[in-house]
Amino acid sequence: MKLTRSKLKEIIKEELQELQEISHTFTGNTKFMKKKMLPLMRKAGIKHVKVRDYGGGQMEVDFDVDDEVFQHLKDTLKKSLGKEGGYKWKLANLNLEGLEEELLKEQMDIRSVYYSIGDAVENLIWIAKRNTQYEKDRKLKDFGNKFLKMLDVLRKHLDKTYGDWD
Amino acid sequence: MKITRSELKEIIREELLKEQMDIRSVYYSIGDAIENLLWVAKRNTQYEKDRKLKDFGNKFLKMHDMLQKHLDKTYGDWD
Repeated sequence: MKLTRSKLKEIIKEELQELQEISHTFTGNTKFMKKKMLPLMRKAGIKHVKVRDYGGGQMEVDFDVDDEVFQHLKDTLKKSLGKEGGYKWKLANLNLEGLEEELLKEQMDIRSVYYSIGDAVENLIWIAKRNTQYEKDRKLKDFGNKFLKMLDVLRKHLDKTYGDWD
Repeated sequence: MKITRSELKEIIREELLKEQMDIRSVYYSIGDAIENLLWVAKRNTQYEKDRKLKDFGNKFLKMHDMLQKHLDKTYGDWD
């Protein structure tokens, strides 16, 4: 693949834009979501949405947007439904960040928790060793190493108590 | 060396993420992970009777607190 300067710029711009986007979730009555929310989102320029029907008349919509677009969408909602959490919001059973988080917590297992701590500690060690602002801070490295040791002990406990946890 | 568009995207993304990583985001990601550990240790039916797991969570929390104190002392405006 031959890359021109403008193409490379375009790729970097795309990546930067994606990094600024944050996942958001709306949950509400299926009827309300279909008739009101989805058209509103289309108007706000949100094209890629993931829709999930949890049954019982509840529906969830996931989408990635940057803060500016999200704020605009919230303002539009406030105009038609009043302030967040008010009577009309309750009537529509509408939540800004929805069921997903709760469901994720229910599905959270010890393996994913263990590895998320591991990843975060690795990042701490990376900063302590490679970031110019912190590389001379010995205590920060010590903290990283202490966290690592504790993770090792936790691993041993999990291996001993729950053989098939990993 | 030939490089595909997706490989290039991945390299750029990795580098950008590393650049964005600061002590504040690292501190809070450790905190979130520890909170999840405590949540599993206290609320998950499979692990809620495991006292050692709760102890581990509390030890991690203590260490996290000590890290915060160190950062407060050494880099006043880190947060």
